[in-house]
Amino acid sequence: MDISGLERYLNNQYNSLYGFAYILVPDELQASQICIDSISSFLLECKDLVSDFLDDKSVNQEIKIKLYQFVYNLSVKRDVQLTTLSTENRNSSFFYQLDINKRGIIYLRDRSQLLLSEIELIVGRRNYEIINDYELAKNLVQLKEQRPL
Amino acid sequence: MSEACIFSSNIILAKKYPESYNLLKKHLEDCCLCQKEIEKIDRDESTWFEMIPCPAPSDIIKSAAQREIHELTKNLIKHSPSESKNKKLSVKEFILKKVLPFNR
Repeated sequence: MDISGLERYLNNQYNSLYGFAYILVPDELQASQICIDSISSFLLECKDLVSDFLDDKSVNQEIKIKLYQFVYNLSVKRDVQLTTLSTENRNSSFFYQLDINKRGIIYLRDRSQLLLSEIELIVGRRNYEIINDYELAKNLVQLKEQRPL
Repeated sequence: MSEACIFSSNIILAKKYPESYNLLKKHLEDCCLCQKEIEKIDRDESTWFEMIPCPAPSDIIKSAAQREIHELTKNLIKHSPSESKNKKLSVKEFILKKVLPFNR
């Protein structure tokens, strides 16, 4: 595969990466910048994976997980910076009042449909912690949104 | 209190792991209480799915990102081993053609 194949692949991944970044840091510009920074870090730090991809090896899912990992780590850092700068919450939905880890886990599990083992790699936590956070957050959102269950 | 079937508690797992719950399959299809429970679970799932935001980038952001990705991958070509090999060759050529003649 050539570099243009990699460019196409990254462009295809952009929407889901942006969605994930926005869930974590709900701001258009911040989310888009986090995605670009993540892609840039990935290209610099994961040269082996990039060359495997260019050699036509099936590493698509591995690359996807790595990209999500970069987005998650950068977003957590950015979230800390932003909360120290301002406490204003731009989004009124209760979902965004959950803490960043819980939002990330819900998105990865229910929107991106990733496996628990893959989510473990991305957020760097144990599976029982992830399940616990997921169930807790789900119950909270459902209670707060007050929809018929 | 509403009526419930004792097997209803297995529905979620049966949906997730159909092979393991093969014996229950016929019962779940025939029992009207279980069928009601299945409908309720499906409704809950779709309601939950609607609660999760699904943000998508605007066209402006997407095209800006495409440009950035193009730049990033272009830089990858510049720094690829074959490219630096070419660079080394041109330096060698430069020495052979320009530097050496003066030293002779």
